[in-house]
Amino acid sequence: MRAYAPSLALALALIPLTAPANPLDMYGFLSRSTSLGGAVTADVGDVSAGYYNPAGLARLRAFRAEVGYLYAAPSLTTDGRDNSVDATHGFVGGIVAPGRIFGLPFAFGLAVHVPDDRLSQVRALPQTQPRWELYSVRLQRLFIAASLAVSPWRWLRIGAGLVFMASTRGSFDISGRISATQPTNSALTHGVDADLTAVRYLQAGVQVDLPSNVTVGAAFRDEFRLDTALVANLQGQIVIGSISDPRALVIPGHYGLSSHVLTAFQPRQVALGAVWRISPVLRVMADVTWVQWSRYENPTATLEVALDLTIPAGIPGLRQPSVPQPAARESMRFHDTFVPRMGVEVTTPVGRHSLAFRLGYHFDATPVPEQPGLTNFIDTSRHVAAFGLGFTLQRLSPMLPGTISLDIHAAMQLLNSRSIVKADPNDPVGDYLASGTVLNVGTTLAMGFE
Amino acid sequence: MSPRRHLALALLLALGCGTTASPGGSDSNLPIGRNGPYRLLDGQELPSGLCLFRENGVTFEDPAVLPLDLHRIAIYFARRDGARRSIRRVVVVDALRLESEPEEALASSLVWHGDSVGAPDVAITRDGFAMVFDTPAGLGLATSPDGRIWRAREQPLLTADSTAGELTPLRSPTIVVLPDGAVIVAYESAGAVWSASSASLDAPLRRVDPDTRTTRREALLAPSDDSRDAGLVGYASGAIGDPSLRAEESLAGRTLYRLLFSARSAPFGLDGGSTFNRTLGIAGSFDGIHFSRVEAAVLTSRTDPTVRAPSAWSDGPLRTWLFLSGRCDSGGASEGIRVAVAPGNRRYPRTP
Repeated sequence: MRAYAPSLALALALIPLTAPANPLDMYGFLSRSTSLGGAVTADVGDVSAGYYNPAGLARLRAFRAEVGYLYAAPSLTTDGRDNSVDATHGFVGGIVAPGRIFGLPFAFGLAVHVPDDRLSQVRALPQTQPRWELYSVRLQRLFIAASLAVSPWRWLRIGAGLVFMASTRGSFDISGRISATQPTNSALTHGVDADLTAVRYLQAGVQVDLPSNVTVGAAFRDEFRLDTALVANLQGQIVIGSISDPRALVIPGHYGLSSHVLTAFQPRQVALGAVWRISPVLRVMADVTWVQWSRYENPTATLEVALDLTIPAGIPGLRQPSVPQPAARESMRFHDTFVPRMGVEVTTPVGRHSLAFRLGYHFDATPVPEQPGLTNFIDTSRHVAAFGLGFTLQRLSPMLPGTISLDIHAAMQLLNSRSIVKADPNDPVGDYLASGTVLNVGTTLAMGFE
Repeated sequence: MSPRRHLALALLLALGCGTTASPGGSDSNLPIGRNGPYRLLDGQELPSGLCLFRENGVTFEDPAVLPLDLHRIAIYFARRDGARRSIRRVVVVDALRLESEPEEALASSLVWHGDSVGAPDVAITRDGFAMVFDTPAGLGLATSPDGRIWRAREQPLLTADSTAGELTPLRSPTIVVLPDGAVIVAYESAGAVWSASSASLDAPLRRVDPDTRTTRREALLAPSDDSRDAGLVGYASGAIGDPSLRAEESLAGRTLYRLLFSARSAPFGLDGGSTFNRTLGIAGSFDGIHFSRVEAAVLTSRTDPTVRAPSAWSDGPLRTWLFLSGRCDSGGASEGIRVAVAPGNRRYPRTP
């Protein structure tokens, strides 16, 4: 496997990562944490710590690798008709490599979600067009996080990491002389300059063990936004006649076009959680996450056009044409939300192995305000109920001295029915009713080494 | 592995990710306000040419649609032969094909009908069906238990009242019967659309004034220029008529009133002469009294400048058909019922 690592790394580097935000926010990461409703800020201690709380990586004392698969099938409807919103599916996994540094336990973690359908998707839509803003394109995204955690005392773990994305910027320049009467004889040169600019955002966390088998935790995930910016410049001369004719009428001019699309936005998040290990068999956990949706910008594309022609004097009837003005964009007016989460895990021994039953729940209030005007960002509040099983095999043979775990989960999102009513009876979209469900299933295979 | 093999494998993986992806989903069946724009069907799309049906020397006009089931509608329309008009009915399947030949639904039978009943509109009532129509003397009402055999009321439903702004004979009525039995009738007079209402079909109609703050009765919808016309002659700046009113219940729980109408622009100079544009427009209201019209015409036809008198039918939540009066040939020798369609938001552009 090590021999293929450079190829994999290079392949990932070749792929443009520009895509809207985060499938993990919506569907969770790896089966155990997902089946506990994501209420694991204080409890996480596996590869999913790379998303939920990097501090949890320092719980591990031996190398651990996990791989799994996620499939989330939305059935989102407006006026009772399925809108065929894309499913999200892909491979999930990562590694945790613990060690010691300056005598202190530390761990490095790599967490990835790799969609197996498309790695990125960008869609620039007019703001009037209805779209499931928090589903649809937003969840077609590659996620890679690299984190480090350290445990300076037995009761304290601190971790931080970076999530990597790429932003696209490009320019296209044309210069020369254009013959209006003989276009094929135009003399033009062009240049293209495109950049994939790395975008990183921080995530960090802490876990503190308290007496009475209680652990509390906090995690922070920073905001990030991805832009696609394209600039085109046409600088030259329009020649009425042959470009080699010195007597031909020459009109110098410049045409500029600038397009900007916010292709992804992830809100800043702060999660606080606690877990109480009531007994070796039973643990309960609860989280609350603050999500700063209020900084979400209107993702509608902006297009600015400039035309500057120097028309020689004395030519009647020749005027510079007007250029379209950019359309006014409505404010998004999203509001911050608090997401309560809770989970219960019951672990029963089966010989020297163990079987875990998990239940989880969280409620996401929608950040999307009423939509009485031109915009049609569809979303409703959702209840998410999750269930999971985990079977852990201990020391199967001398060749496998560690653990092998198989976890599965199934989570159902129930989207409340929401009426979208318009202020204008002539609204191009009109009133409608939005609702839906999303079924999210997945499995994770984990290998823990000793 | 050599660096070259690493590179080849990396390219293979990257390309593989791109080529195994599905064609790129895009949301479908998204809601649409059904405000057009509409496109006239041409002679290739209808089995009988530009119009649904033809008869030499006779004009068919002023269609009104009554849905029968998911695929079938009855169209009531006026058959004009010289100065004589009668009302006929035909059943159309999938908006394009006739199920049977047109049959007579109502002919002039009372003295005040003159020899001309036309411009029908039909609504479903608790007891059957109600039809409003125009005559030279005023508006009439007929009822039917089955939508085929009609009996006209002895007295006119409404006659013009110049003190109420109705300076020309009332024509082209349209009727809406609400679930509680209340009735709204809108009609054309003096180049504008007016309305009257009553608690039931048997109660007398009372004229509606959308703006009671003024002493003068206001029209439901009147011709006007619009600031959005940007200095051009507005499509509805000359006259408005041929109303077709429908009430729709949205799943969000509100009633939306849609008023389709014919619009004529104010005259403007062209090539040393004077002309005007004829288009179709739509206006909406949440109370059936205060209407605002859509910014742009919903149907403008360069090939048929005579389009007028629309009536709409949606054969699903997205697609809407429009039946209207228009030319059956390019020369305008005969006029009949034409069909237009607005396909709706069935599928937005796909993203590869």
